[in-house]
Amino acid sequence: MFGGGPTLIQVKNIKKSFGATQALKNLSFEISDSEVRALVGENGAGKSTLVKIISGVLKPDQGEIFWNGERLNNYNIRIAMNLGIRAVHQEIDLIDNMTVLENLMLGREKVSSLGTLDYKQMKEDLESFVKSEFPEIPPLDKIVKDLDIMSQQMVVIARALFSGCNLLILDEPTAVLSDNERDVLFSVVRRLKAGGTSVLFISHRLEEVFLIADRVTVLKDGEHVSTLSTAMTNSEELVRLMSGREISELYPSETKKTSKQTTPAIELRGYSCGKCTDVNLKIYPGEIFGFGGLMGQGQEDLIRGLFGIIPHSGNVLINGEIVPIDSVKSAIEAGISFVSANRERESLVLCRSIRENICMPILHELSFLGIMRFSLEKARATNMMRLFKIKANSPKTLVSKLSGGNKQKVSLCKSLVMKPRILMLHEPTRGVDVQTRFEIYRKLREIADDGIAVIVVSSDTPELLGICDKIAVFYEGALKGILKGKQKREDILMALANNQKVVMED
Amino acid sequence: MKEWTPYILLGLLIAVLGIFSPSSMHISHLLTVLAQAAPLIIVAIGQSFVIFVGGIDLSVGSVISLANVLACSLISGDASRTGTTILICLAVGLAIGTINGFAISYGFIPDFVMTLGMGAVIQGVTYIFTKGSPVGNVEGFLLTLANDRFLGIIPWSVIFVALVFALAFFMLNGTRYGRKLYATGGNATAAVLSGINVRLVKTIAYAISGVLSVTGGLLLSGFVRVASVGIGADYVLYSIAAVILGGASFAGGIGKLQNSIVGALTLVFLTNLLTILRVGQPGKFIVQGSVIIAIAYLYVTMKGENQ
Amino acid sequence: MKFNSSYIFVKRSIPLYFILLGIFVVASASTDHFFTSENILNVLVQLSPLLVVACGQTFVVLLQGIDISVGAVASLTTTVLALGSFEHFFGAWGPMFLIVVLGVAIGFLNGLMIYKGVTPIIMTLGSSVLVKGIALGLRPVPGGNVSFTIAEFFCKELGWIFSVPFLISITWFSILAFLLHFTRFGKYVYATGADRDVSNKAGINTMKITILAYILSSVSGVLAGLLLVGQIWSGDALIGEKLSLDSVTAVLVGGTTFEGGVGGLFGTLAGAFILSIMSNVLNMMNIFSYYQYVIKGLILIFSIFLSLRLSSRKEKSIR
Repeated sequence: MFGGGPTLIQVKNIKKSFGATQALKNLSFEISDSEVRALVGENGAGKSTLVKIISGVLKPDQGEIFWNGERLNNYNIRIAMNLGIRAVHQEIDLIDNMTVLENLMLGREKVSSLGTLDYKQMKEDLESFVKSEFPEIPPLDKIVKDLDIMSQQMVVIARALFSGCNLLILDEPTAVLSDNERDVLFSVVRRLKAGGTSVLFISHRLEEVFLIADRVTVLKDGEHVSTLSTAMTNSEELVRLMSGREISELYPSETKKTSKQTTPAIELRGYSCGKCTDVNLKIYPGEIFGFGGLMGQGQEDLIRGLFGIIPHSGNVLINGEIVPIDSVKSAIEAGISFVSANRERESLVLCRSIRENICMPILHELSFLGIMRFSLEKARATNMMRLFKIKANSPKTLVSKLSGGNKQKVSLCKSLVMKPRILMLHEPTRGVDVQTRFEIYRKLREIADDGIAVIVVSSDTPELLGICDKIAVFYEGALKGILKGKQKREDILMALANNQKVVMED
Repeated sequence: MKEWTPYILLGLLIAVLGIFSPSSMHISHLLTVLAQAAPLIIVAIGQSFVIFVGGIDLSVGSVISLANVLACSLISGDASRTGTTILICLAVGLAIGTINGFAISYGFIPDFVMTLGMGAVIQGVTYIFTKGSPVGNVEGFLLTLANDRFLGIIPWSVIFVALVFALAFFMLNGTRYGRKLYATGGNATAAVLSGINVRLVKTIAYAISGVLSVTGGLLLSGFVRVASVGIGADYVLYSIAAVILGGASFAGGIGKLQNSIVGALTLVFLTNLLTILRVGQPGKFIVQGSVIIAIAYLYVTMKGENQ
Repeated sequence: MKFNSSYIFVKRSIPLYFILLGIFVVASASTDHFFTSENILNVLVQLSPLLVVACGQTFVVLLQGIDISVGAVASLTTTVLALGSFEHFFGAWGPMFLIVVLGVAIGFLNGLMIYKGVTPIIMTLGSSVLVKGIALGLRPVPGGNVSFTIAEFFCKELGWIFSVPFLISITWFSILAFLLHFTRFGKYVYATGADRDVSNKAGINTMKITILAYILSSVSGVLAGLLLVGQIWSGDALIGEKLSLDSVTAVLVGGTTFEGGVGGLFGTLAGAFILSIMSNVLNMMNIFSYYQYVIKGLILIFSIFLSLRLSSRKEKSIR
């Protein structure tokens, strides 16, 4: 059981507020030497704020920070870096057009006596580092833009380690990694621990916490709930501590309606798009249909192609008829709607009001001969806001001022306002707090019960298992199998996702 | 509070003007200044469309010059030719704007590059057309529009500008197109995913700018009566300044048309004030430049406070 | 070499030199008067101020910015020099000292404001008007007492096709190219232009980099002004107006775009040459000199269009 060992870093009675929101309320927390600690909690629990305070990016309103028992005053990024605290964020913080070497040395390049960049020396220094401590780094002369995500991740971590690291902070490092890649990452983490470095990582994937962490800390509503040794707890307990609910309460119960439809709402025949190849499947109205498997196996390309964003081949049948979809407009006209994973970049216009955002796809309905009928627009927007319980002062509020959960709701409204027959969602609850998550799940169930075919693409396997009636699992662009009924289990899903053979019942 | 900043600034300016020259507070003087500001305001309206949609139009100056030169040589003192001349000029402006918009939206040429290049090309065309020595003069309708007054008090040019403004305001705030324009400027990707034809929206905005640049040029021709090859040169920078001084975002999606007018008026009244104070041209430039920098920085600090 | 990513941008500019060579060959072939030492000398002298300013402009465009005040700074330089000698202050060199100080100050102001968030076009537009005002105040009409020694120096011919102005511009180019490709400063300019946040997190002082880049651009404007003094031997508050947008054209034609962190000086060099030679050729062929406006505009548009086509195809699906 882990729990002993000298304390490396300790924060006491930390309070931090942003305006009216209290992100951290009187939080105390410590990490020991050579420890791998997981930090879990729902969105809004304060994990990211805590991490920013530890890495010196934010100053707490109140509270103290201790390092090796010594109190630190006027703590900032510089001091944190000098102590060997390195934080690695979710976004890949690299300069795309530069080489691996240049990115590794960014900000601390070696300079020759003439004042020029000493590439020779840097290359030598790095090569010895690579050999002895970090062989997973891609070749030093490769341009970062040309590397795959995993290699880029490695470069980011290597950067953090190169100048000596005592505490490595990783924010959701495995979000974009496959199982194999994650194992590589974890072996690096274990090596670090053996070398005396502590690692703190934030994760939403509870199964991984048990694979690698010594202890796990649960935060909830800005407070420290508990720190437990991973050997002495399990997922159910963590979920309970994180959300105050039982794991069984996270998802709405199965639909009571039985499908009597014989015509699929949408059918794909020989459909290929981007990474996905030759897909054949049928989705019926009233179903919540999930696309699962590791990230980037073609699921995203499939739905983006269906929305007319990228070109595709093969046939798409809507209600039994072949429909050509070659643009976003034609997709919308065919009754297809799409909620992007990256709402801020792709689905919301942050500088405009809620009302304008929601009504954007149906401007034709709300205007006459080109002239806007504002009463109609206002009515629609207000109605949607009410149905989805969007918390805002008025429909005229700018979307940029809303919380993450409410932004997602606006994004959802936008996709439903044109009354689609098929609704496709990509990562529907990314960055969304517990309460809103549950509301969204319930809403999706309602929408499906109304006769709409709902497609969900998500990297959150428990989510898929929780809300979908059927799940299609993809591997390297091919549809490996469709899970339904009793086969809708995590072990079978993961097996298919990793291309293992599974006996499927029909 | 922040919403009223452009108006507060203009108000302060006019107040200062009133202190230094009480006689200029007379309504006829104010109207005269408004009349002189009319061409800039019209061009600023066109520039507003383009900046709100997330672009920029650097060709407006050259288009104004071309309109001036064309109008003068086509009318050439014969007032009866005014009608056809206006039609031809508007068509030219529409064509230029459409080419700009088309190249930017469908040819993926960056807006800065395209309108800069087009500006150079049109400037060259203007020179070539006049072979260095422009001829002709304006008579008739344009002259009346620019110089006469309704009931002897309100300049027709002011009424005209008000009409153009009303039309543009309606387009931006009361039509489907206006909604699409702001959506495109705010986040083109999101607009595309909402089924908006972003390329067409942008092209139309540039076309409007082309037409309004010509309109401004025609009105200007009425003021100056003769052709002058470089007459439009300053309008590029000042029209952009007017829009930005009105608080619009250079990235697009944020901005109010009426504030662009306020921005244009701020520049004009500032110049007027400096003239009354007998400040020479050098001094005028120094003050204008400083004011532009100061107000732009002011908006930046205000935005910072909101975050 | 292959560890230094800026090498890629040097390589990318090679096609431009082929185009330049082609233009050169066609020009020589089409008229007798082009390929003479006298004419080439002339071309290079005319090219020099543009090249100098375009080099500074490259740094600024790499940072996703623009500096339209350089033309006004060049003009200001000529007017300050036209003040003649400063009796109690370094004599004939007094004005030079003053204009360098002014140039640095203007660049500092530009860089600081732009770093704080003012859009580069508006800021440098404002400063260009401001500087134009100062220049006009010093010299309402062209004229003045430029020191003979200084003016003579900046137009000196050195035999064959070489001249002091050209030598200065090439030297300036070399110094800036060295800075850009071989020093930390240059590397940080690329980094800051590509991604300011990542650069900040890496500990780079992006404010310092931004300010230094704009100072470099303004100083380039000053140097160009000195070269102009060698051409006009007087002060003229409006002489440099075209330099601003012409330098941006040269930079864009050379392959540095507003994308940030992409491009380099070797491309700018080719761009400046291409523009200057085309001007010269058109003049030579007695093609009505105003056609060069048209040509310049078309070159700009076409070159960007080409470069976008040839470069990696981005996901144009959502546009």
